[in-house]
Amino acid sequence: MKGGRLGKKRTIESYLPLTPALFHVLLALADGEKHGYVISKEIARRTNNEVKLSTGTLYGIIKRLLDDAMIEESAQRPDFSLDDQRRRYYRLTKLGKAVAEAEAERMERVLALARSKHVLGPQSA
Amino acid sequence: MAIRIDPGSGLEDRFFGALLRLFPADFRERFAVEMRTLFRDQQRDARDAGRLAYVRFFWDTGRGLVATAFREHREILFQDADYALRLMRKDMSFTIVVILILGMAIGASTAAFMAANAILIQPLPFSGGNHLIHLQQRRPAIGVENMAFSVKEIEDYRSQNRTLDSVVEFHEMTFSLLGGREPMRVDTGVVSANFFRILGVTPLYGRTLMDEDDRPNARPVLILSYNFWQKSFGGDPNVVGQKYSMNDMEHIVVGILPPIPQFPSEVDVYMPTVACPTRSGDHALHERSWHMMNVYATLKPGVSLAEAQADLNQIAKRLQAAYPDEYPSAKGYEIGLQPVHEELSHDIRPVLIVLAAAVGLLLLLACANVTGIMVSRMLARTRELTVRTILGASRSRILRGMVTEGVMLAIIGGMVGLILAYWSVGLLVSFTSKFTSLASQLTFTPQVMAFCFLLSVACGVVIGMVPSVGVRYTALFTAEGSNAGASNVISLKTRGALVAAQLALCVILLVAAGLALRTVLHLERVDPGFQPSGVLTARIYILNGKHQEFFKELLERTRRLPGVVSAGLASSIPLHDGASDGPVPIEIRQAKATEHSETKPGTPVIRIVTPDYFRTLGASILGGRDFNEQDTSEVQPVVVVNQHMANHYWPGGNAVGKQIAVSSEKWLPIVGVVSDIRHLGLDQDPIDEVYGSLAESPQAAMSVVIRSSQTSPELGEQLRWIAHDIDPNAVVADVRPMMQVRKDWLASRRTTAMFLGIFAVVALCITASGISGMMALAVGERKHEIGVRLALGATPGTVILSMMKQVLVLMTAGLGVGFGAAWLMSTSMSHVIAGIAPRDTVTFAISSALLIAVTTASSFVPLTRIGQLDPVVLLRAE
Repeated sequence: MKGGRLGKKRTIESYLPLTPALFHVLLALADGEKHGYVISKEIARRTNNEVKLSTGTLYGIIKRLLDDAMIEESAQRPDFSLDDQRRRYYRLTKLGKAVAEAEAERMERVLALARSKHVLGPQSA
Repeated sequence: MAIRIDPGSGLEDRFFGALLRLFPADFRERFAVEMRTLFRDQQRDARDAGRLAYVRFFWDTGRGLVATAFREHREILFQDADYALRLMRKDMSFTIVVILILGMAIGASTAAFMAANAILIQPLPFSGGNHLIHLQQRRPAIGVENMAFSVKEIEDYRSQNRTLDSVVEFHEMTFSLLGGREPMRVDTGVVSANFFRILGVTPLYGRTLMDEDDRPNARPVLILSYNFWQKSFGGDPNVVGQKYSMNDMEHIVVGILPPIPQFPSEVDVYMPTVACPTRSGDHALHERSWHMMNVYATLKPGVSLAEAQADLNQIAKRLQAAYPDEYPSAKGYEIGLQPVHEELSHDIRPVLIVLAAAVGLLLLLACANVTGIMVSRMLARTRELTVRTILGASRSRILRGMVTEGVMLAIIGGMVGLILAYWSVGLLVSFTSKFTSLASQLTFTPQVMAFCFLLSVACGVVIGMVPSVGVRYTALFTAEGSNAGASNVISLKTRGALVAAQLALCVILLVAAGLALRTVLHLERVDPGFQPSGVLTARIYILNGKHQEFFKELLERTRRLPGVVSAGLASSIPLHDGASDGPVPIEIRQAKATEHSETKPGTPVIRIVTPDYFRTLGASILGGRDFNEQDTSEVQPVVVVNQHMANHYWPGGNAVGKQIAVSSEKWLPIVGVVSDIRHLGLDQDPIDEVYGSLAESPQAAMSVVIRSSQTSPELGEQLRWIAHDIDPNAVVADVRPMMQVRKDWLASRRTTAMFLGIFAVVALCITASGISGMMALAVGERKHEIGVRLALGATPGTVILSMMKQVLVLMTAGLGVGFGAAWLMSTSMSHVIAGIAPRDTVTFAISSALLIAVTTASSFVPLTRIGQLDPVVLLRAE
């Protein structure tokens, strides 16, 4: 826990805006718990390799999300025969989900603004 | 169960492992295993994607690891700094005390570095200065170490050497400069045309000397020094091109030098050699024995000092063979080479080293003291540290936080120190200028600030790290339910060791200050061989050639002034560096002396005086008589010798009536023996001196001494008026009471003693506070034990006595180590002390008594609280 935040209750908005990499990690965990390798693979796949998180960058984000209680380590593990004890699985907390939603809504509002200003074309069906 | 992973032995694994080490320990403990697993997974994918992707993978991984590690450290630093600031604000008295102690010590260290850096470390401020060497003619058999060169010798060395690039000469004269608002006596550097070129000096205005300026019949030119230009011309650049009269010739000012330290000595103006009447005279040009020039040279590229030395020694041997009368082998003859930087810093080097060592000790002492305070504070934070440990904070994380706190305290202290160092610049320049012309280089530079910052960080690491060595024990003992007393005992032991260290360091500083102080006291009591009280002195220069008439009338009219008891003249007065143009080292041959004394080494110094000089100065005629008005060259030239010379050449006998020959076959009878006058310094033993009469050796510059029955500030003005009344162009300078001359001579030693004294007093105060704090802590921590002992019948006195025994142990250890170190180090102070032994018993005894008294008093005061403790209240509280 960060010393500076000790004892302070933070609002959802105080976490925003998120960095793209951090938002991608939250999104990757939105549909279930995953370990580091799967998170990095999914982000690369979903972004057509535009966002590739290196080991250091990914675990810097994971540490921050854990410290801020947006994700937590999952106690559930795969079947023993499939499990790798070296890996840890992470999942979104309620806070993490709320922050991801708030960030998505924020981005949506930005997009709407861009459309109203004709910076972007109308939303395709 | 902790999961471990094989770190692997491949190059890639080692690369990853090395970068992983950049992360904070906590981070590694949490994520290292996972990170290595992910790295291997991604490495496998990248290998499958081709060579380029593989290379790019390593680049991205390396960059990501370094950037994340940096961010993690930065975040921890900010957290720790934030936390430390809150702790510092919470305990302001602690914060202020620590900052002040560290500020004083770091400030003193920074000031010492500033002086040492400017004078000893930095290169000379001339572009060519660092290759410049001083050539010295030596006659080792008779103890002459630095004999000046004659024009003939300069020509020989200039033409015959194979290792020197340029050979330039310098000598100093004093001339009168006319044509300004009033006549000025100016110290003049007479130099070769390429003197400024080899130094690499660029003029501030105008130009420096050119080869044409130093040719026969060239128009005389002058270069002004920066200080003289500022002082006498108000910094007006229009002075360039102005004409002034000097030595009955018109001189034109062609340039002004920048504000650089002058070398080899401070002068007002410079002129080329051809413009100096003495240097251009027949004697100077043709006589090999006319030694008056200092010679400097630069080495050719790639030539070492040893090669140049060998080359010049060859020339010396050739000269010895060619002119055996000029260079008799009985006296020896060789050439010495000394780098100019070493020469300029030679006098101040030992003083600066002593002062730097003293501030170094003070800094160590301050660190030991603050570390002691930090240990106490850590003890007060036992509960908080234990909670943090239980909550999962690792020992390294706690240690890091404490180091951050220490560094922050030290950096704030360093800022205070930086301000102190900035304020000290003027004081340091004034102090060091008594020793070296490099003092003007002493300024507040970015290097000084960088030194202060690095020193602060280093101090911070020490004061933060040493106390946290005890964290493990404190946290462990308390967390496992052991009694807190065990941890306190460890803490008290640490503080005890730190107090003993402070005592040891304090002893060394006290002894150093004591030795310097005793030296000053000794020198103040030294009999200078004259009575300075009631004597006024001034330096008088005349130009008109009528020296005898001028000085005769000056003395007659001065003696008639009200209150004047007597007056006399001398070519130089004692303890005054600036008036040494009278005495010239010579050889002496004796007649009617002891039979075997013909080849005794040593040369007497000749000084020219008038009748009544000795009486005016307060020196005693021990045998024979003083000079009188009848002692003129027309009748019979006579001399007076000092007691040292009389005892040297005629031990047990009477020198009066004997004769000596000075550089000629003319025998001069000795008519008197005068008491030894310490001309060279109060710390210098008397040397052989021969006094000649002014009536026989006319001089253009003399020092007048006037003894008056009442000290009158008008006397100096009256003297000036008389001199100008006799000769309007006469220059009267340096009017000072003789007491002031003596005081000025002692000034540098006084200042050195003052600095060391201040350091010692500060050290004593810091040490006393350290002991007092430790005992107060001991009483606080041992309240329960004290309560039990008092309840069982012990008296407060016996409890105090038992605790004082602990102080005694610390004192014995500290004093023992400190005295041992001081005993060993005191000999290195030999350049700073005089008249007492380096291991002066009185100094050591007084230092120990002072320290024992202060230690006892400062430890006893907190112990008096024991008398006020109520055992019932104490035990109930437990």
